[in-house]
Amino acid sequence: MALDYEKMWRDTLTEIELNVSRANFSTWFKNTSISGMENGKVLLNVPSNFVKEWLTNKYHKFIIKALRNINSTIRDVEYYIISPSASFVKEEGKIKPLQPAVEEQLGFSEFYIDKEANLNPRYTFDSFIVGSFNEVAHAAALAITKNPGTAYNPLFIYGGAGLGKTHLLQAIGNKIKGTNHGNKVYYLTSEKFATEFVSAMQNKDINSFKEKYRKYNLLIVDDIQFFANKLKIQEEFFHIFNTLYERNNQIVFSSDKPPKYITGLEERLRSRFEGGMMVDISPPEYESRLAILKAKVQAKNIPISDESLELIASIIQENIRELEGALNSVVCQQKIKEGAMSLQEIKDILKKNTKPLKTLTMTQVIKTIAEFYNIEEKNLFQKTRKKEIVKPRQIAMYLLREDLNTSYPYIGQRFGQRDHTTVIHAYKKINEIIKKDERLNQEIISIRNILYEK
Amino acid sequence: MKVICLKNHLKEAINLCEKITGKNLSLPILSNILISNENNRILRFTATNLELGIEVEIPAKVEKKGRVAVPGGVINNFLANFLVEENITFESQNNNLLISSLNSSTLIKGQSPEDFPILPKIKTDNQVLIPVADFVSGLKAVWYASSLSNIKPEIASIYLFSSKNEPLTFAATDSFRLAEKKINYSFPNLGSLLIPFRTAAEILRIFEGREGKIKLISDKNQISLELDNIKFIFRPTEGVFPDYQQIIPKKFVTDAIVDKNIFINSLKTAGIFSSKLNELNIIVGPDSNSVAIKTSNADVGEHTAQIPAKITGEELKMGFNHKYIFECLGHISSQKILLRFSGQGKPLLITGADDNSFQYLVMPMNTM
Repeated sequence: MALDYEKMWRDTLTEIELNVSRANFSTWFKNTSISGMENGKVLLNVPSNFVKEWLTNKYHKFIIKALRNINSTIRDVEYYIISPSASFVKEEGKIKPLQPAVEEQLGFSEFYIDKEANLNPRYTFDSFIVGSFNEVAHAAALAITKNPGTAYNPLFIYGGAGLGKTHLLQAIGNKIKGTNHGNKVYYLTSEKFATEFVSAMQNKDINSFKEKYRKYNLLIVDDIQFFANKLKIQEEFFHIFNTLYERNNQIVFSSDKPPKYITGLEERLRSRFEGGMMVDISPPEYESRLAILKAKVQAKNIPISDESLELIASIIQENIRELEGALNSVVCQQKIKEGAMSLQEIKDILKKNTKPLKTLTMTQVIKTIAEFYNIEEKNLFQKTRKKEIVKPRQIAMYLLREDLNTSYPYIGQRFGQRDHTTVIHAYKKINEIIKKDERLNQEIISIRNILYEK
Repeated sequence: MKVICLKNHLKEAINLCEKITGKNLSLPILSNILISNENNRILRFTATNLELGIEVEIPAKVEKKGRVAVPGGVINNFLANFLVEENITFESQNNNLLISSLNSSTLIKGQSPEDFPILPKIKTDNQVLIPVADFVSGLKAVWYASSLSNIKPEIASIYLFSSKNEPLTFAATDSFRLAEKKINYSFPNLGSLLIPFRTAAEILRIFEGREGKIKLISDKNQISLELDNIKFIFRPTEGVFPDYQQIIPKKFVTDAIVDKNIFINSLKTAGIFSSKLNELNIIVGPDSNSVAIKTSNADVGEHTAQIPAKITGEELKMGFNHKYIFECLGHISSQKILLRFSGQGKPLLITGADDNSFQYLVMPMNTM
C-alpha cells in the first residue's frame, strides 16, 4: 500500500508542478507525502506548520482536484505535520561547526551512552560502511531490526578483532530501541555478564539477576567466547537464553570464532548458538578500507588528501580499528607540523606505528606445526605414509609455500630429499581441502595465529 | 490601504521585522515585510523566513483598509535615514507602497501580498505568563553554552523546564560544559521544551529590555511568544535533552571561594596570554590562601596571577578552556564565587557562594 500512495502522490505532484511556479512548488511541496487514506480522505504529511497553513489556505482545492484526477474516490485532504528526518536536516544545515574539534578538551561522556540499554548512540546503521566483506552480516542485522525475534533468532556474528562486530551489534540495539521506545534492549559483554553473575552469587541475589535478564526484548551479548570454560555461568546463561527464545525475544551474539571452535563451550549451548543464523565478517578489502577512511574523514571534517588516504588504506590491511588509529596518528602529526605531509612521511609514520610483519623462518614454521599436532619434528622428515604424519607434513609444505614463498625444490629438499612434484601435489591438495573442510581451515588459521602473534 | 502613523512606532516595528525576513532566493517574497490592516486603529507588520515568524502591531489612523508587501531591507534603510519627525502617511498603489510626509514623497516597489506566507496559528490552551525580565535573564544565563553544531539538534538548543515541583529551569550544554539557571517559581503545566540556539538569539534581541509578562503558548509543532504588540512564533527542536542531572557531581575534593570581580579581572589579563587551545591552568593549593591561574603562549608570553581565596580540600592542578570559564562568570549574581573541583579529569562546578540559582559545570582539558 505504501508504494501505491507514493506513486499516487508522485503522479499528483507531476500534475501540480505543471500549474504552479517553480519557486512555489519547491517551497511548498518539498518533503510532502501521503501517509494513508480513510473513507476518501487523504492524509498528507507536510514538513512544517507554515506549509500546512499555506496548503490549507491556498492550494487545498487545487490539491484535491489533482488527486481526484488520479483517484476519483477522493473527497478531502487532511494535513499532518511530520518533521523531516534527521538526515534531511543535516543536509540542509549549511552552518559548519564553529568549534574546532579539540581533542584536549574533555566532554561529558555520559551524554553519549544510553545508561539503560548500555548502548552508545554513536553506533548506527547510517555510520556503518557496507562492503563485500560484511554485507551478509549487515543484511542479517537489518532483517532483525525489521522482524525482531522472528527473522533470525539468535543471530551469531563472528569475525576477527576490530572488524565492526560491536558496531553492528550496537546498531541493532539502537535501531530497535529507536523504532519502539517500549522495547527493552540491553547490550553487554559476556565478561560483564560473568562478573554480574558472580557478584549476584556473592550477594545471594540470584533471583533478581535472573529476573533482570528475562525481561528484555532484545539481549545483545558481545564477545561470547569468554564464556569458554565457565560452566556454571554457561548453565545460567543457557536458562536465560531458553526463556528469551521461547518468548520470541531477539538474542544477538558476537564472537571471534564460530561456536564450533570455541573450546570449553557446552554442547547444548553451542547447538543453540548455531540454531539461528551465523554470519561472519572478514577483513575488509582495499575499496572498503578506503570507503571507511573517507567516511571517517568526512564525519570529523579532517583536512587530508585522497592520496594519503589511499596510502593508509593500502598499508593497514587487517583491522578497521587499526585503520582508524593510523588515520588519527597521521592527522595528529599533521596538526603538529601545521601542514600537509608528503606520502613518504606518512609511510614512515605508519611503519613506526604498525607492527612489522614478523619475518618467519622455515624452522619456526616446522617447529610450530610439529608442536601443534603433537608429533616430533624429525617425524616430519621421515619417509612414512602414516596418516598422522602425512597431514602435518603437507600442511607444513603448504604454509612454507603460501606464506614464505619458498621454492618447491627447496621445500622438497628439506623434507627428506623429496621431488618438487611431491611438494606441488601437497600444496594443491591442501589448497583444495581448505575450501571444503572447515575443520582443516580452522586448524590452519590457528597455526597461523600462533606463528604471527608470538 | 491608506494609514497615518508615527515615525517612532514605525521604525521600531520595521526594525524588528527586518531581521526575521528570509534570504530565500527561490522564494523572494520572504525578503518582504507584509504591511496590513484589518482594524481601524492598528497597522500590522509581518515577516517570516518559514522557520521563525514575527508580527508587530502599531497604533495608526486608518483611512482605507488594505495590504502591501515591500522589501524589508529597503524600507528599513529608508526609515533609518529619514529625518522627518512625527507623522508619515502610507498608501498602497497596486503592489507598491507610497510614503509621504510633509515635504517628501517616496515610492517603494513591492510584490503581490497574496503570495506572502500565512503565519501558522496555534490551537491550544496551554499557555503560561512569565515576567519577561526573568525569561530573558534565564535565556541569557545559559544560551551561550549550547552547541553550535547542528549534528545533535537537541543540544544546539536551550532547554526550558518546569513542573509542579520543579522551578522554571533553563539549561544548555555543548557536552563540554553545562549551564543551568533556575527562576524562583514554577509553572505546573509548562512541561519541557527546546528552543533552538539561533532562535534564542532572536528572542533575546526582540524581548530584551522590555517590561511586562510574556505569554508563552505552545503545542507540539509551534511555540508563540506574545508581549504587548509583538508576537513571535518559532518551531521548537524535537528530541530529548540529555538527562544532565546525572552528570552534576555529588562529591567534591576541593572548594575555593574567590571574589567575583577580582577573578573576572585576573581572567581578562590571563586571557591575553592564553595559547591557541585557550588553555588556562588553575592551581589550588591547600596551604596557601590563594588560587593561582597561569597561561602561556609560545608567541606572546606567559602570565601567572594569585587570586586571594578561601580553600578547603586537596591540592589540585588542572587545565581548562579559558573561554569556557570566563563566559559564565557574568551570570553569577553574588559577589563571591564558589569553585568546586571534583578531581582530576572530572568536572568543575562554578556557582555563586550564596546564590545557587545558577550552576555551571565545565570539563577540564586533557593536559599532557
